[in-house]
Amino acid sequence: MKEILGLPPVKKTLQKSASFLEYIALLAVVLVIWALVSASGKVSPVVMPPPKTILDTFVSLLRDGTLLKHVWISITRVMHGYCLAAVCGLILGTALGLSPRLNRMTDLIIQVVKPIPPIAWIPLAIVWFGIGEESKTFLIFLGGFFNILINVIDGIRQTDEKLVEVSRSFETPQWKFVSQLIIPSALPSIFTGLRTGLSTCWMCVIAAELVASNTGVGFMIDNARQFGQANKVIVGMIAIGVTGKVMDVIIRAAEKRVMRWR
Amino acid sequence: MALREDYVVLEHVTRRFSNNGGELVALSGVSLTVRQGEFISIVGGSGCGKSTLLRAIAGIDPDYEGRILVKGEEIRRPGKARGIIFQEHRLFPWLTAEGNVKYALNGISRAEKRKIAEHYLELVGLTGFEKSYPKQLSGGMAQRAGIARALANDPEFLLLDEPFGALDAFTKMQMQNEIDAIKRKYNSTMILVTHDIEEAVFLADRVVVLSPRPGTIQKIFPVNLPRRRQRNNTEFIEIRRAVYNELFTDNRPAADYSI
Ligand SMILES: Nc1ncnc2c1ncn2[C@@H]1O[C@H](COP(=O)(O)OP(=O)(O)OP(=O)(O)O)[C@@H](O)[C@H]1O
Ligand SMILES: [Mg+2]
Repeated sequence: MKEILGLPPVKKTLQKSASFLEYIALLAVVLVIWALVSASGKVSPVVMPPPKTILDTFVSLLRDGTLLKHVWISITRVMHGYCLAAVCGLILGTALGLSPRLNRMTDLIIQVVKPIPPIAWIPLAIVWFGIGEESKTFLIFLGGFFNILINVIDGIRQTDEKLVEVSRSFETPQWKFVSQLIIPSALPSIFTGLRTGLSTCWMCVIAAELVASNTGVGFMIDNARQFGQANKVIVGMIAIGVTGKVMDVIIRAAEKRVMRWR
Repeated sequence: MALREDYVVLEHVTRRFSNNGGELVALSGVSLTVRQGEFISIVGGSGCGKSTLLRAIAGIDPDYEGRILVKGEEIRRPGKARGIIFQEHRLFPWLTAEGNVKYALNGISRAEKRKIAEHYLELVGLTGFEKSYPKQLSGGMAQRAGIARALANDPEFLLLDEPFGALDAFTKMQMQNEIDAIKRKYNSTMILVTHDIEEAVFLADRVVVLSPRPGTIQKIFPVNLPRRRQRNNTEFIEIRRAVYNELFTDNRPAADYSI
């Protein structure tokens, strides 16, 4: 296959490295400008530490385990809330997508509750669950749940009517109809939900930790702020970004594996 | 068992659609009796109600007036006793060719499903492509997989809605021969909707010409030629021409027709 499609291998390798350069070029430029501005001495290194300081801080936080500890705590929290959101979103979304009646009955409340940002739930979550793990799980759950729910419903709604006709002509049993037609055809949309859901969950855990926590990356950067350690704050922020990206990559890889037919 | 004379009975089948506040009569009082093992081709201008009629007979569209009986039973929903082959292959993109054929089969063991799928894929010449996904098949191959799927339940009644419209001339002729072979082998009852007069005459025992808006039966041409018909035989050409002239008598240009 590759040979038929292809450019000779050398040319291909060149092309690959060229596109990789394109991929990282902007980041490199930003880093260089940042370093230059710092070196010019026009901004205080306390307010905006140079990249070198950030790197040093990063290495030391990595060495003493602080960074990994906090990141791992945040990830664990996300996993709790996210798994709950995914299970509920998939089951409920499938039910609502399949039954126009159920959907009509629940639509109004979903449409009203959905636009409330998870952050606006923080006060109520604290009142209900205190400042422990439960309130965080609840917030993360909310963040993921609606994203997943809406996308699952949409995906199921968009099932190709033509394929449904085909299926009906074989007198297909309901479970087979759902598992081999409805779900696979909704998969692209379901994965969109799982992906946006996960990134929302990740944002929620940070928000929750900023407000009320004494562990996690969110806490780590808020704590650093109180001591005026901009370098630590930035390292934390970068860790948040990188972790989010890694999660996205993992889900995309899963998506590709599951939808091999595409 | 004797073959039924009244295998399919259409009695005054009428289908109305509401259309931007107005009403559109797609079919009006269509009556026809089809013998068991008979091959009917339906031709007619675009929009004259051919698909509407086929969908009603298939049971996909239950909102018609009048009666449609298959073996004496009224049809209001699709069933596996009637196989349908559509213009598009309508394969499930996430299932392989084999998976698609197996989807049609219910209530039998895995091993049996595999054997049946293998058999019908071989019949349509797709051996070796069992594990291919639809996107890995050519248009003609995908259409053949769709045919294999429609045949998998051994339906004694097959409905075909412009099944070869999207194929090139060469593949199309191959497929017509294929259908002719299936007809001879299983003596199934078939109703074919087509835009291709040659195809209609090649396959049919009777060619039904529908007139448009509202769709009614304008004329029926019997084709009493032995099967494995020669397309350049004089009688064949005669009938083809007669059908063509019938379609054009009312001076309605049907640009998409080829003789
Ligand atoms: N679901 C529908 N709602 C409203 N009108 C419809 C619907 N389906 C078909 N019609 C109308 O009924 C008429 C017949 O349509 P039909 O699809 O049966 O035509 P056809 O003979 O199969 O045409 P073609 O050869 O182009 O496929 C058309 O005028 C069409 O607009
Ligand atoms: Mg049509």
